[in-house]
Amino acid sequence: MSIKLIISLIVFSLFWFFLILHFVRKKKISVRYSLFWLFSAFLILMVGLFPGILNGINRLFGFEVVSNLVVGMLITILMLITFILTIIVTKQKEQIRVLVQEVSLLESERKND
Amino acid sequence: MKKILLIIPAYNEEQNILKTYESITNYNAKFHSKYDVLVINDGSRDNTEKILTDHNIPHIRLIQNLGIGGAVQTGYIYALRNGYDVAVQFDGDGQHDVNYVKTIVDPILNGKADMVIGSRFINKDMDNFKSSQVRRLGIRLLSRVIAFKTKKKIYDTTSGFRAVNRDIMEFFAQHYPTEYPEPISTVEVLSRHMTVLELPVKMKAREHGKSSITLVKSIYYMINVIFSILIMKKVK
Repeated sequence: MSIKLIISLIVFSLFWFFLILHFVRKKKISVRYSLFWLFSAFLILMVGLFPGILNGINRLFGFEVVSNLVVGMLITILMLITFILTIIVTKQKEQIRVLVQEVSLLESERKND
Repeated sequence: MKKILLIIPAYNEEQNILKTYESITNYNAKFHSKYDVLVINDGSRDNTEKILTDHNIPHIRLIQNLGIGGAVQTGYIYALRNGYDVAVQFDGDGQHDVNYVKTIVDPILNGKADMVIGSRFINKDMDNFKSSQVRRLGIRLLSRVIAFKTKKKIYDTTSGFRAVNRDIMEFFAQHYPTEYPEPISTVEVLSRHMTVLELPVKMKAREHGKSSITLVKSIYYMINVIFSILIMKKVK
């Protein structure tokens, strides 16, 4: 991996880290959901600080160049996070449905009294 | 006297809903039956709510549109909490005929079935229902899929004219598919070893408005329903 890519990764991950922390402090993201984003920033930082790990890991996956492994890792992280988000959306849809039903039932009861 | 509730989901049904309601009250007057009606107004954007209120039609206005599954389920929750013995799902668009309610309710009252489906296709003589070839092909394909999964042949897989007892009300109040609920919930009922009976009824073609299922949606419909049925877990 080129020194430029390493520096980019470190700068980007630090920026990413503080951006997430900033939003957690402002309570725009709950701690619970910030954790997997912080974990992604941590992974990127580790790769920047210890690029040697990647060579080891790449022996397992066999990318032609290690930088492709970095891209592959990032895509995998994104897929995981969006999948988790879809699970959360599905659960929230269910919760909203129950809310709408109960409020509507209550409202009709109130009108009939 | 057993309590029977007709659940009528309605989304933008200003042209049909009053006629449907009056057909039921007329039937009650003529045959001294006591079918209660509950219209679920699924966030209609036309004058459905005004018509329901002006004519004192018992109804629940959903504060947000939930889609057919969520609307019908609200009716089942209401039926369960208000001690109904039988809940009948009845369309608000004039397709279903109140004269056949007795046909599908009786087996529930006699304890012969947990769920009865009013079927357009089980008796060829009564099949005057106009629907496209493609639609029928789809219904037949679903029939095959359900038979493969449950070993039981259901002919009119998408019929929304159904009667259920309290056991199924309880189940539907907890679990009811949001999208395209009829075939999926039928399989769920069958896989829980409850008895489903299919009896012939006549249905009318809808008079006003168009069916909620358009051609583009029907491909998604088939994929969604078949996938839902095939991945369903067997219940011991």
